[in-house]
Amino acid sequence: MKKGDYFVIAAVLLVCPLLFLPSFLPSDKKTAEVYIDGEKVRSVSLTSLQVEEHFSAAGCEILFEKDGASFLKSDCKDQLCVRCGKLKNAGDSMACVPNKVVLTVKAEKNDNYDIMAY
Amino acid sequence: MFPTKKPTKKTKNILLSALAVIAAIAIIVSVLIIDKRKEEYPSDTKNSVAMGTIVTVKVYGEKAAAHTDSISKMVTTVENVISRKIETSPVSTLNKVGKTDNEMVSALLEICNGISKDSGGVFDVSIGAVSSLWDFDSEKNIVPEDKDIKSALKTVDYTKIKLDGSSVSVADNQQIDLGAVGKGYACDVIKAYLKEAGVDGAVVSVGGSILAYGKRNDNGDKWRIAVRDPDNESGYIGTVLLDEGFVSTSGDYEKYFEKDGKRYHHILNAKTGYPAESDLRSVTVVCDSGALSDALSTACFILGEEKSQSLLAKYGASAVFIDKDMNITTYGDIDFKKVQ
Repeated sequence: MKKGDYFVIAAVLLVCPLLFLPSFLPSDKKTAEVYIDGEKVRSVSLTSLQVEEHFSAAGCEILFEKDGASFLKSDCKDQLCVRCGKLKNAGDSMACVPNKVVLTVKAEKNDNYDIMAY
Repeated sequence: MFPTKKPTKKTKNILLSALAVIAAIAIIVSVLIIDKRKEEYPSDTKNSVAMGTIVTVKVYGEKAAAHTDSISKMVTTVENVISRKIETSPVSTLNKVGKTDNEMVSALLEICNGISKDSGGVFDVSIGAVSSLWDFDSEKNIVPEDKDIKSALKTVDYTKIKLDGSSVSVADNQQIDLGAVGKGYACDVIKAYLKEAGVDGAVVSVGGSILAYGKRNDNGDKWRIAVRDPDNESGYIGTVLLDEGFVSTSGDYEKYFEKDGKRYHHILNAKTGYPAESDLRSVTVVCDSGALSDALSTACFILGEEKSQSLLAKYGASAVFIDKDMNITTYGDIDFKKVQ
């Protein structure tokens, strides 16, 4: 065997484990999701967002920005969802209860806990 | 050093063929491992609104998506029975005419009356008239007149709630408010469904009241339930690890307003009609019933850490207490890991 053959063997042995290495690494990528009456109607990757996005449905206008997502407007009476401000962290959620709209921010991977009691 | 003896062409071909086979096997195995990790334990998550709060359902196993739909609707079904804000609910009927006939309401009131008795009456679901005065859901942020609170307190007395099978009756003007136990009870109903449906594993949050059911994964790992940091809405102070069970938290941060430098939170002491003044910011209770964990967390918050212990012991429950100085203590058989 030539030297080159050994290098090929070494390369194959190195590359194969690297193929599934990314699935073990932690990720800080965040996604904002909108649910209306229990159905997911919009999902936006905040991390890769270049320009802000607006989404309107069920009486609510939602703003997606790189650093978070928020209820910009709502036709609901109490306006709690609008006053809540921007959801920035993975696990943050807010609902416009009268319109049955849920906005939630989640990490692509959350290795710390399954759900939060509050 | 590499061997210097030159291999024959035949040997070289055999080695290269072997190398090609090894490489192919290695690549196939790698791809299979990645696919296996992705589909190891299929799950489906759904967020919806019910009981005036967010309901998060995450179901693991085959046909997970079919179950998340059913579970979300189930919470609304429970709400339609026990909410006093829904005109047609049996609890609204009870509050209007003083009696109703409903198994769910009767079963829930029986649990509540037990906690009322064992907490010395600081927890009492006949507190509806007082809750209406404070009306924390409306965001009016008004402290009721003391005379109005005292007047409403006269209707608060769990011993006047009469149960006879599925029949329930209350005293004149008595108003039932199941807000302190409804979310936990919904978790009980969901657990019964999951068991019947043969679901592998699920974790459910009904407005922060948690059900952890079945297996979390094939490795036998425990469920990890984060306990919220009272000062940070998206932060947590630690995790409760458990195989299965219910977790409920009562804290002074969930619904409150501040007036003249004082914080008025929504956890009312049924003996005084005012927000409970214990030394706690939050209590997280773990036990084997959702309604009980909900009721106990409220009762323990009002009682304070020391007086809670006999109550927790009676119901075989455990708890995490966070006091006003952010000291964290635990009671009972609980696997709690603080965030470092």
